[in-house]
Amino acid sequence: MLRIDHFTKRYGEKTAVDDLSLHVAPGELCAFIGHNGAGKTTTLKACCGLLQADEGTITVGGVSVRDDPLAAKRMLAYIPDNPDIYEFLSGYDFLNFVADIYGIPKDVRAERIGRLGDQLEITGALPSLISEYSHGMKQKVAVLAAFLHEPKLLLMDEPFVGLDPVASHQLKLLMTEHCEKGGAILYSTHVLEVAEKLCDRVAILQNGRLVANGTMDEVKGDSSLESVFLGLAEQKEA
Amino acid sequence: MGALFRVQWKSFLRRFSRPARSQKPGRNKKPRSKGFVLGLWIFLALWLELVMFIFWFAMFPLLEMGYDWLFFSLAGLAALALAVIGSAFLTQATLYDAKDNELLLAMPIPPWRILLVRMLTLLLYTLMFVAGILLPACVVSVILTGFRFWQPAVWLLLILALTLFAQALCCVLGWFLRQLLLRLKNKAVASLFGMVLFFVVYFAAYNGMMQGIADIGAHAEDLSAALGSFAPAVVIGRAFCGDILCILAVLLVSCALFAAVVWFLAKTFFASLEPKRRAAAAKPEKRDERERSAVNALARRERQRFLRSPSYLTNLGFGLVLLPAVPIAALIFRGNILGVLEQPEVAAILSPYVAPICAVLLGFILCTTPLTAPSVSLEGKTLWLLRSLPVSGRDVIRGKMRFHFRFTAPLAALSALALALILGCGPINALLLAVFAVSLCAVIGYFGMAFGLRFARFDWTNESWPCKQSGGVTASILGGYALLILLVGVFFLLTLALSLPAAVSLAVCDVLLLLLAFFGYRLVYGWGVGVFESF
Repeated sequence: MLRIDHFTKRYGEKTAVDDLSLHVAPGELCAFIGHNGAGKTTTLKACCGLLQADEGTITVGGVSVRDDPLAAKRMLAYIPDNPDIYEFLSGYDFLNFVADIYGIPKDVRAERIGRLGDQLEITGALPSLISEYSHGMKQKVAVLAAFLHEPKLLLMDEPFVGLDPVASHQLKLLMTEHCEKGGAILYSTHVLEVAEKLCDRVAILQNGRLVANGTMDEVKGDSSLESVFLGLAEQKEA
Repeated sequence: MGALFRVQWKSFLRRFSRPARSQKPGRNKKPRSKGFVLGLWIFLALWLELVMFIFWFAMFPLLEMGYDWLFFSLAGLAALALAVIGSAFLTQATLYDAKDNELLLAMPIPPWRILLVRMLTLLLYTLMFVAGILLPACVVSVILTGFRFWQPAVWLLLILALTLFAQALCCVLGWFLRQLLLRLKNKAVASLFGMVLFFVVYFAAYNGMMQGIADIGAHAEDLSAALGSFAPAVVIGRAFCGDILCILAVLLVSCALFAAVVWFLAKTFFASLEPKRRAAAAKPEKRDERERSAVNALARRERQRFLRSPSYLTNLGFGLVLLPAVPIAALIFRGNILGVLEQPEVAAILSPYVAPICAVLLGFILCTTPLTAPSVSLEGKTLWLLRSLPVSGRDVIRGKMRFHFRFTAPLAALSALALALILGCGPINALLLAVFAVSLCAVIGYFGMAFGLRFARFDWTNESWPCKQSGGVTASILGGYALLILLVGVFFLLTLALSLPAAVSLAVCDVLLLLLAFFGYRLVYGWGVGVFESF
């Protein structure tokens, strides 16, 4: 579903991501972990066309993000680390705007907004302006908007930040269901325990380079994901 | 305090420097031109100086009759009035709507310091108005009554003091405005209504003043008696004439008032930022699940932003209120206008030019409504949404243009037709006038978008910057006025030099505008799309 081949991104002199290759197949839930500034957000942004690759290629469902960005974007949804969404719209207006962009029929969008809204416990707040929402409520609306068109690929940058325990639990369920239906997810996180329980794959990034990549069992073996990650960090310091 | 000031000052200077950079590798790596926006502001300031110089020169009888203090009283009061009108809304937005207020208040910084640092940039803005009025008055006074050695230092001190005084008044007005906005449901429409009311009062007062000034020599004694009973006016006037006690009074009162206002605002700053949720919570909206095309959805989003942003609506929507107001006023005063126009000596000169005069009037109003100019910068931190959704840059721009046309073109066309009908311009002139208005809407929309893209910035801390002070808006409005002056020149060239009928000259202007609109269309959908997609 997502193929990243030899992706390199530089900001001036600094190389943020260096020759990264990563594949996420349909049905896979892949955790993307690394220390702050490792290049996770840069990679996720490049996957959805927010940043251009300096080298390498990224394809979504076989479509190049660089060559046909609109076709690629129709297959994916992106949730950034900070839910900056239109504060001058109500929750319903925002979701309808997203639905219009993806061309979701009226009855389908009503059903999905109702179901997902109830699941994330945000339905009651949707008629109000987003400017009146808390951070967590904005995050819920961003999550709801991302799932609205049932994308084949979900790119999520620390999606659990700001969510209450119930909403976090519901999001985990949504993510699992999405992958069971054949969708793929690449999500960045610093909560290694959750990643360990939730994901079938893990990719660890260090200073822009991929230092571990594989199924959860291949990467962590008999130890925990945390000890593997800390071990890699110690190796780097040494 | 120093660190805080440096950050605010950098933010202020960045407004005049490089706009948004491309994120594409190898493109736009070097800073873009820094001087253009600053140049526009300098041009505006010089223009104001010239206009005010002419204005104060017309008041020379006061100086000749020995009413020096009255001359400076009028200048001082005019400076205060203009500064308050120019800065009150900006003061409210800068003090209370800044996005970094919470960040700064969470740090161990006393609120008065935050306010004071924010006010330093506001003071510069207010100083521009105060000095813009008073400096030409001082120059006129020197030319007509001679130079005295104490004048530069005293006048400079007084201008600075009156700037403090005006800023204190702006802060008080801004505070009241804030309290009102916290309690209103639709802040944007209420702000627009308040602004309209404010301008109606202002123009009524201005009209009264101009009637008095028209024959200032004859009215000097009445004016002196009227202002002589108003102590602040006398004190300001006498201070500029060198009266030591009055100078001290102006300095003392201005500084004391400014300090008291800063103290009061600091005391109420936390409470003023706290949203009055119960009072201000907008009524939940009726669900609207109609399906729309992507471009219509984008245009609807622009419309909702416009109608819900006080800064956007008041700064760029004022002309939309004036457009229907002009034919309504023409209808109310139809008898008077037609009475003048039907006088034989007036009719012989003016009757062919009624439609062109209406075109200029509507044109000046339309120039204040480049709704597209701030719309790119207003994406701000939400730009990621448009860039992650499957919409092309072309569609985004089409959405913005469609919003502009839907708001301006029907109103402009209806106003033009109504005006032509009320003033009896005839069907051909009515049609030419409507074409003029609609094609000018198109030109302003396309070039507003082009300037908005050229000067796009996404790192603003309150919406008043992209809506009021940005290079895009300034260039669009000034460019619109320049175009209109150019068209007036073309019209007179054709009518007077080539002796073409007024209707034919107006038709030529229409064609020129349509050609310019076509060029704007090509510019925006060619170069503009590329610029948007590079952000």
